[in-house]
Amino acid sequence: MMRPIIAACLIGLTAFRSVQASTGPASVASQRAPAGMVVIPAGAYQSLYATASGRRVRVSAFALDRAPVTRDEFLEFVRSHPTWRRTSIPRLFADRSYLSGWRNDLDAGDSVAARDPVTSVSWFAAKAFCAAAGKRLPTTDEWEYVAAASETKRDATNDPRFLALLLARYAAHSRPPGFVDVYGVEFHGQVWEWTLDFNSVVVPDDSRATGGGVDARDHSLFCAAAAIGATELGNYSAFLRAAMRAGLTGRMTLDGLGFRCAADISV
Amino acid sequence: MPRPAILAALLGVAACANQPATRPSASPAVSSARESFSVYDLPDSWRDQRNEPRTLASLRGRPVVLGTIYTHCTSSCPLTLAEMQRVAAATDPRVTLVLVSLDPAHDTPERLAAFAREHGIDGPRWVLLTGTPDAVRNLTVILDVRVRPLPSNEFAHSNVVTLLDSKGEIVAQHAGFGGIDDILAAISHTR
Repeated sequence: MMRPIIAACLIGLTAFRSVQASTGPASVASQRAPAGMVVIPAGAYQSLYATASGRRVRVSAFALDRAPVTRDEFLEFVRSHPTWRRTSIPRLFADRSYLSGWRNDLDAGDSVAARDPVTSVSWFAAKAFCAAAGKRLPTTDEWEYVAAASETKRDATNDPRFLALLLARYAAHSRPPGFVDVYGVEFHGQVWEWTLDFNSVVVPDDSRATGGGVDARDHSLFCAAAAIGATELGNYSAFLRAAMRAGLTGRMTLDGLGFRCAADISV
Repeated sequence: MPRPAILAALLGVAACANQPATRPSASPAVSSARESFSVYDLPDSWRDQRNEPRTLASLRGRPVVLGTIYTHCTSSCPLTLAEMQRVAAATDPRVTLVLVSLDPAHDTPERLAAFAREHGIDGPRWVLLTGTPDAVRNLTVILDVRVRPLPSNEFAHSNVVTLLDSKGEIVAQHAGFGGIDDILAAISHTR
């Protein structure tokens, strides 16, 4: 009974702290995000994959949904955009498991289930939802930049305790709801999440396919392959997410794969 | 469809599946009876090397072999182009060759036209396309082509050549080099 109150206090405190502690321009710190979103100030994160200019990737300030899109929210979307309903979506945009957990086109389950993150949605459907809301999907860089944050630190990837906590979450059979991080965003929760450029993970998805073992340095498979190389060995949850993205295709729908939206902000 | 053609088509598909360098029909991108879809239903607008507005639907009606490159790429894109030129030389005019630019910011229609002239691919069988970043993203996603922008305007990308039938359904794909014969074999059974 006390937990929601404590959680609400913590959310309030961390949101306050994130505004005070942000090092972005004052206009960003004071910028009001659209309802349900948080302003993430500009910064940098250590990318898993090296590029010619190193591993530190800069991310501009942007707004991010506080939590993954829920079934309820997605139901409202398909109510007003009938082509994205389960029985009318073109096969181009999703496989046959699209919204498979729903009882029918306009029934996303009971009131408890309706607040869960929506899953079994394809990249095309997630993209359409965000566009209809005047938003977009977050880029992989934006997502991983926020993923580096703990409840107290913007970049906690050098904190072994934080990395161990993430590993425990991602390795769990059933993942708990996300924790609220220093930005005020609920993250590392129950679902994997689509990103706009999930297909930018340039590694072979199955080295057995070319028989004889192949990796990203196989120049016949990948143009500019020499530019790619994983360098950070400690952040295992980041590896898991990269492996997940490498196995995705845009029409794919998975129980356990949802999304949230992002938006550009003017600084 | 007359029976000999069905048998030939089945043999063609089986032959493709046995070639390790070509993705078998179980690959997520390749259409199957259960999950058939047309790439040409993507609604995006493109421009070709003649600066004409195009949609992918305009490619309907004959087999298409499609590759993704960018004109200032000097690593493996020239090899992809060479493989597609081999396909052009080995097939009859009903097969259209399509090159889609991964770098629309630099590959304007004029740049595509110059590239086509430089490489002797400015005939009617060749369609070079440039589009918005969203159009390129939708197409690379549906074809399961991986693309990562690199510094200095380069791109890391998987080298994939795709065979589409006259409806725009993905019949076969080949990753890497040296297996274009599988694409050629599939073409002979593709309407």
